[in-house]
Amino acid sequence: MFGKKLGVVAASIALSSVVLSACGGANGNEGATQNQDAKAAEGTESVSLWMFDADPMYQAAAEATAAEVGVDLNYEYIQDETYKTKISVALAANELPDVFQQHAGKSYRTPVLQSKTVAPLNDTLDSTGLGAKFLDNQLVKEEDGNIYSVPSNISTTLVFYYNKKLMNDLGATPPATWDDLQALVTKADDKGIIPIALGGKERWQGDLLYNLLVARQDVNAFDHAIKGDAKFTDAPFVDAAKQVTSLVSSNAFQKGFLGSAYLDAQELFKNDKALIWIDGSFNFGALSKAMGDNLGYIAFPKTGAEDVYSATIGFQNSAAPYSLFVNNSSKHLDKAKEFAIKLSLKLNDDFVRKGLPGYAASEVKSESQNEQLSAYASDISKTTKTQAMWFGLLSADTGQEYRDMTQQLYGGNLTPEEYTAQLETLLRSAE
Amino acid sequence: MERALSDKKLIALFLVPGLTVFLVFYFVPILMTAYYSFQKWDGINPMAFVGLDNYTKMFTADKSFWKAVWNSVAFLLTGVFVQLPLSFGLALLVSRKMKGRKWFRNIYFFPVVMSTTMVSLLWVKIYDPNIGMLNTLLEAVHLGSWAQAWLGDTKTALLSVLIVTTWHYVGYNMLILFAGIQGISEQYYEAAKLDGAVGWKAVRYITLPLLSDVLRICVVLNVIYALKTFESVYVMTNGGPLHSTTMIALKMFQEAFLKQNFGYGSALAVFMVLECLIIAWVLNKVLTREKIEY
Repeated sequence: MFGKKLGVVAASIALSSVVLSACGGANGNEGATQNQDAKAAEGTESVSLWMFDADPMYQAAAEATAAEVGVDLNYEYIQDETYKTKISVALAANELPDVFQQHAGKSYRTPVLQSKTVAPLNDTLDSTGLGAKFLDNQLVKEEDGNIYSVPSNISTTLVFYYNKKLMNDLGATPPATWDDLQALVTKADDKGIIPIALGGKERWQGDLLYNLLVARQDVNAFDHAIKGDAKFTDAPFVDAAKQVTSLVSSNAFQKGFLGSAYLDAQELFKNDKALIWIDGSFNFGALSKAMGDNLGYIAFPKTGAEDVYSATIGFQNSAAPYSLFVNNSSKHLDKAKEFAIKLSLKLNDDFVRKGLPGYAASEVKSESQNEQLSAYASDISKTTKTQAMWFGLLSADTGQEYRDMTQQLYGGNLTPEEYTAQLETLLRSAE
Repeated sequence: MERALSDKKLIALFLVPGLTVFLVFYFVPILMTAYYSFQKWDGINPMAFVGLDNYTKMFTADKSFWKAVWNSVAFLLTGVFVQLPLSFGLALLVSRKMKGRKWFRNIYFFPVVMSTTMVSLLWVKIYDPNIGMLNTLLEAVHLGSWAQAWLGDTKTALLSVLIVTTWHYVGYNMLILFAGIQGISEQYYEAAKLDGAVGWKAVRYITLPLLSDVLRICVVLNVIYALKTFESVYVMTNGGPLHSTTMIALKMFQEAFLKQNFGYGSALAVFMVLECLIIAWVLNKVLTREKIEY
């Protein structure tokens, strides 16, 4: 009845009539387009780029790549949560920039591919010879045989950080087992130190902690259950849920953690108010900079039957990694493709320089790493399996419902048995 | 000029551009949203007609929908029965001929000029149970047992948000009511004084009746604002914890833009539009009365 683009724009206008002020608008894009038109009129090709990673490294890499490719860069950083909204509307309305970053996970990647707004990169990867630089399986080949994206981030995982100063003040050592963790939580709580800071408002930290607790019970529990070979009501899921409720009841998390924003919770850790911080490895740099030698790291304790090197939880998903896509309606498609591929490789160099495992061959030498990062790199190399975070394997609506449900477990609205029963229903119906 | 203004066809002609803009940018999107509410649509793939499924889901299967409706009612009742009387009281106070009344008026109105996002972020910090000012203050005055996880506890989160919105907008209603009070002729009070009506009696028999039109506007504005509340809740709690502060507008945003259920999000939008229209119409009917003249 109505054109898709018109429909999305109309729906967005109507739906946004009450929420516009909080969501931001398309002004940035319009500005980018106008700027791009002006540059085109001057005869200079320009590329607009949307990114959600706040690390200045991304903008610096993008600017260097633009200079190398010979284009004017229109760089727009959009705050992570806002980005998720903005990109979904832009995708549906085909109002995308020339190049854009997208989160890892099926719920984010599938809509991009289904929108048919992104260009295959095979030709440029082949003609420039740059495709050969990417390591095996790092370029995702879709069902039609095309490669639509290049990586924009390394394989980041969930990390157990701790505050060394507080650990010393407590006269304690980092936990190696579930019992150690429980004892440490009690000891910290008794001394008025927040044992674990958790940003419950955005829900993902609690969700990922539960994923890891399940993996520590049985490294293959999720894979078996999602395939239908086991149930989400089986022991590993229930036992991990019990561990969550046990942590909550022993005041492991700060007061009001369900309402705490991720960044506020992180501040508690950085400012010596919280002992433990469970976050992505992508924050090693920022946390090291803020805390210096005060930042501690250990492999997540053995909280179940599996040992500490059995698995970790990855933000990445080999079939749906953090990616850079190119808009197939770009006015400078060839330049945009070249820019995206070279930016991906430049970012890879930056990761390698930091001592992190890259996704492509690099001539850059690793710079001296701090003790924690070295320990992490060593642990990751020993870790047998990286379990993709469950949320990243689910569709957008199922994923959101799953996170709501997990928050109810943390909030005490669901018992471990009720939670896993609902998990079974939700994830089974989503298959 | 007068002839032109009496020509109805000419007037209609001048109205056409404005009406066209209104229809295109306001009425058409609403109609289209209503159309989408009967579809299952993720905004990308083709739509599938699902009839009333989205509405059935809304009224029967979505547990947080009724929570959102109740929260809207809580905002509405607070707006009308707490914020408005407070605003009226403040308007009366700043109407008095006393020293510094302009200063007080500006102070009470000041929060209104601050953006909702800024106010919400400010209060998030004040409410923070670990480093926030409120709990620290309570502990300093030996009321530490009152300290709460204000926004992180389902029992206190809604009340905490309501306090912020009341504080934020109390000055807005105050200013409207103050303007209304200024419009009441002094001679009514002087005549009433001769009959012994001073103080509260003057307020009861002179100010309130003569302010009825202004009060009606304030009630309607408060109700509509309450039903549409989004920004403060989005920033302060994102509807949590455990949906305890969720609102229809927030649910609509989350369904459409996070879960990519544009169909269901549209159904929520339609509900909100109808809810606003019906309640505003009822209020107009109930509160409309003969103009009072003394």
